[in-house]
Amino acid sequence: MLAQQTRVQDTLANSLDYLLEGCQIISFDFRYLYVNTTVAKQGKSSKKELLGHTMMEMYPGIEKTEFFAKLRDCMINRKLSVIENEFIFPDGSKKWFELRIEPVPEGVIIFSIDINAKKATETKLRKTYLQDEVILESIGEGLIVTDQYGKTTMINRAAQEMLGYIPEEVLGQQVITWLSMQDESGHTILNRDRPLSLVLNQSKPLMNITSYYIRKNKDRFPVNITITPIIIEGKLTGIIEVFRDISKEKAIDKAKTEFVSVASHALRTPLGIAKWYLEAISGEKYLHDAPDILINYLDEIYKNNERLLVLVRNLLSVSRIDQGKIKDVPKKIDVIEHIKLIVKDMQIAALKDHVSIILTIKHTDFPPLYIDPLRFREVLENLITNAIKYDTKNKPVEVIVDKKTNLLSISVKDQGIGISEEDKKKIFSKFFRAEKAISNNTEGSGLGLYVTKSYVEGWNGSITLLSKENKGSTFTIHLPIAPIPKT
Amino acid sequence: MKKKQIIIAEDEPAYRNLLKTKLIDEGYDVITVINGEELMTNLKKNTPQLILLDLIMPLKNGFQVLEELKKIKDLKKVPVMAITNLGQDEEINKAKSLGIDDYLIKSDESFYDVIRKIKKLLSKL
Repeated sequence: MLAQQTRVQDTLANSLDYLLEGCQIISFDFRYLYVNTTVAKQGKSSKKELLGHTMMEMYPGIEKTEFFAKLRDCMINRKLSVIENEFIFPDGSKKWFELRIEPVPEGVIIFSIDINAKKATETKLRKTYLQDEVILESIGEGLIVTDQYGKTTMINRAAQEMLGYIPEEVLGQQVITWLSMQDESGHTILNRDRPLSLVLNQSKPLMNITSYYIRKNKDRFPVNITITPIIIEGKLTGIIEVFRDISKEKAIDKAKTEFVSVASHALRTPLGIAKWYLEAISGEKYLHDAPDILINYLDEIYKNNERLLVLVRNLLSVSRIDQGKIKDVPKKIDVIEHIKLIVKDMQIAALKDHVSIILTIKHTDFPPLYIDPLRFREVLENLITNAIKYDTKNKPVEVIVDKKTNLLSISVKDQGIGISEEDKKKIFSKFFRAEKAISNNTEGSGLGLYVTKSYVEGWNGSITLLSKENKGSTFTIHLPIAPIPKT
Repeated sequence: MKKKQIIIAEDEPAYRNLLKTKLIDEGYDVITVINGEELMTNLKKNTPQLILLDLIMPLKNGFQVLEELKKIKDLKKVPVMAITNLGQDEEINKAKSLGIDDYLIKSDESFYDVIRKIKKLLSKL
């Protein structure tokens, strides 16, 4: 029995000796009673040097450390404790250990694990984290972070300043409960329609959304918002929202729009006067004996004056669109008859440019369309005028009316210079003119398609473009065939 | 036969003179005034067959003139043609609701179309 016990003890001691964890037994007078190989290595010493000596002898100053205090505590109170301790060696070097100090009859047993690498990583991470936090805190954009349920987990300083909340008021709260959002006309946006909810539901980012936020003091201000989902290992864990106050941009834009509006009105008077006088000159007998060159020159002046008038008219339309002042006066129209009429009127202009217009009606059975006839005309005229203008080879322009999935589609197709892939992206923006359009010396203000698109979208329609350089372009507007509202 | 009388209320001399010259040439009796107030004073002495009314004028604008005309029994029936550079829907609708007979936008209409329309309107009287 005793032999068996001794064998077990030997085996145990042997196992302890080669344990990867450090193991040491310390007597009540702080002497090393037992140390395994790992501890000797951890202590930058040897079993021989340590055994029988006190800790204070081996590591002077150890009695002042937190580790020593825990050790003493364990000896007195006989309670287990686990600590992370940075050990300072006599040569001044330092190393982190996780220590489990347990009472044993001889004193205490200490198991030690070298956690230096872990600590170094932790320190590095902490540093990165702090650095990130400083960056996020100091950016000018407002920043709100939420968890996957939309609860606020971070709000940076800029967001606090813009919205008027302090972190204590919002952390842990659903963003939608403390931050209210409105549209342009002041209507509160429903929670389910809010970009934040959409991103949380669909895990897809939303960029550059313009909306209005309500400050704590109930003021509202325009914002540009970008929300990105945080996806870790394929799972949505929250969102990051970055937003900025765009009050200044809005104010500048408004001032600009108003300026354009006032300037265009002011420009119309002198241009209109010049127009009438030029018409009066050509209409009367003054020019009967005039040389051709004078008539040509007057014609040139007149044409350019008309050009300016068109530009001013478009500028006014744009400024009114931007001011949200465009009001449709819809009327019930027979769409096919209307298109026929517009095309007929445009034929005359087209013939001057030696271009013919072919009208193809693939579908005739449309209910009456409820639309502003003047704007509808403006849209078609814009598209047809463009087609004629950019149709440099004098090939016919085609207007095709069709019905596709309950939408009325009107296509205007030319075989002209076409639009490059790069320019397609910007073709509907304000003041944009395609590279080729400019180099071909065609006149234009870069406003027609912007106005066209704005109108069509105002009718819940859309406009699409198919184009190939040097082959031609097809602009198609799609309009819902809606029943006439009862008035 | 007595010439038909037209009063042109227009603050812009270039427009005023061109219209006057042409309409006299067409055989009308033309009176010109340069603002709304002057127009109202003149209407106390004359009852023209047609008023050509600019809408933006000093002292009294065209809309104010239209409001006042509606209240004067003898003048209620005189046709008024707006000749203006205001071309927005709300302006046109406002003028129409005040009883305007025709609305012409100067920079959109050709000079001869304007003259044609004036003559047509007067020929009906």
